[in-house]
Amino acid sequence: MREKGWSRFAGGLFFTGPALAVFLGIIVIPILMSVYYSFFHWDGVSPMAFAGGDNYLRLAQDPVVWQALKNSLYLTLGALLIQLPVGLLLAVLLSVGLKGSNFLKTVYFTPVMLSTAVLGILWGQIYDPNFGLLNSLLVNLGLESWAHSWLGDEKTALLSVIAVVAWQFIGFYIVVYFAALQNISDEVLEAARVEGASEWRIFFRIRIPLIWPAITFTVLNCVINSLKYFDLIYIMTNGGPNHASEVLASYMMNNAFRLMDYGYGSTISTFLLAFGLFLALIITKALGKGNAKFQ
Amino acid sequence: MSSAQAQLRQAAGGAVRTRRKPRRGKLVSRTVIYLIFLFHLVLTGYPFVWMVLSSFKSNKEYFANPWGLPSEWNFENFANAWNEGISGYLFNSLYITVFSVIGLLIVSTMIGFYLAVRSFKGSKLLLGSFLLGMMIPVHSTLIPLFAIANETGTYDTFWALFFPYIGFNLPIAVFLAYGFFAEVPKELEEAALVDGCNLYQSFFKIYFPLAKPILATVTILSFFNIMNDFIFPLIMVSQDSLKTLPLGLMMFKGNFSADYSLISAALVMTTTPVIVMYMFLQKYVQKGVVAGSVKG
Repeated sequence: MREKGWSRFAGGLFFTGPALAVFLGIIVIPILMSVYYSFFHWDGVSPMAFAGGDNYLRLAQDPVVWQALKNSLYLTLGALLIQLPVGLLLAVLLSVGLKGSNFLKTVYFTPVMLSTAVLGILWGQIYDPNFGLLNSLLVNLGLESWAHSWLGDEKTALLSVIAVVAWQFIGFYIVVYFAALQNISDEVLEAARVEGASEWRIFFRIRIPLIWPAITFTVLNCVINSLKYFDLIYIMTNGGPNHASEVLASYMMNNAFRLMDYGYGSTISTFLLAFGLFLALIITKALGKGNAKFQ
Repeated sequence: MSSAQAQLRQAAGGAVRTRRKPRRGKLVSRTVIYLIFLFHLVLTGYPFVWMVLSSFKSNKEYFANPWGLPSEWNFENFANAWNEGISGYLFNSLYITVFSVIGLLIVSTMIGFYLAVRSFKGSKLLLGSFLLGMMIPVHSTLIPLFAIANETGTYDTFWALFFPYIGFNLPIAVFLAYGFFAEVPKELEEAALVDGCNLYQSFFKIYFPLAKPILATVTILSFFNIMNDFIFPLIMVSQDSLKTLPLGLMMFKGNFSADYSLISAALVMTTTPVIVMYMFLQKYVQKGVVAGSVKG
């Protein structure tokens, strides 16, 4: 006999209760609170004062918010245009069946597993204007004029971060695409070769369509993660110089936890959330199949 | 394999053989491919090699000789970094990570199991909202979580990290657990009922032990997630005795900002356990990360 009435209720509560409580307490309620805070002036000390839409007006007129959005867009484009194509290319080359391909995959994937804090500090040392490896390399190559303060220069700060992000995550996409490519049956490819299809044609007409779900996922993943970039930026540039590498997350953190403007910080985080969900919706709609995994 | 397929395969082999390019062309393209991989290998690996070499140098040599091998290999940097706090941070990280992962495994499999064997009104909606949870940036919850922690007196305690780690790893864990339990034939639970197991017994005695593969995947995924997390210790913790490795390293770097080789040693010591663990588990790690993210 399956449980009924009270015992069914108790069972449901026992099994779903703990997860629900944590989920509600850590994600759902805080999000609602964040939206609520965004309508107040609040410095964490004095009482909260209702602000109506003041914070949102300020958000719309804040040039740094627009700068941060633009930077997120560059981060996203950098990820989409560097990480995905290079990852796909290397995965295809690996799938040819090279000697040592397992070793290569292992090494490429290593940065994915490491803490961004470690990588941020390590790359901070590499970019160091006085003692860094990068400038030293340029000097040795006779390109002294290129050497400069990579993270301290408004022109190169964001690019330097984008390069590290690409360096860290290409391995992830290699492994994802490699796994997807392995799932294509050899017979399909052989049949195409018998028909005389060129490798290029096989790539675009057979491989790409067959790994489309993986591509959809990686695009979505790339965009969502680009919006969430924070650790590396906080550690390497803290959004600077002069907001040149600011993103919404770092700007929100600075407003809330350094300037103690919790009201405005909440407005930025609410905007970040809404913007992220909106983008995710558009992408899943645009790329089709992607939403299949949400059912 | 049917004979038609076999013929096709033979034909394919034959066709490929006759259409094969001259050997030299193949050799050249192989070489080019290997060169590409070699370049990428150096690009990925050299920063780590440099980090390790730097950690054995004196600070003076770090500046004077960035590229070469250390003139003498000294281990002082490691001893100093270890004693200046890295040991404590490492212990904190392991402590919080192990307990959070255990908590996560228990609550996520419980709800995943229940949703899979007892659908009820709104169970699909519930599952859907967990999935939506994967899209939520941590940052949208930080200010309220900070405020809640202050109100409840959990700021700067173990709990201020424990619950958020479970919360933010729940969506993927629930999704994987549900997916696993939903594939288990319904007859299993019915058989358990017939044999006199109630719901609780069938979970703890049958389903939970059965779920080993998915438990391993969730453990690996969340272990690395939590171990590498930077943001929650940054916001929720101020006492040194709770700082985890990523945040501790930042503090360490701040305190010894001029001592680059000492910082390198600290980086090597933080990275080594993760890399060693990854090397042993790499097959499972890659599978787990791919499964977790592709399905999510």
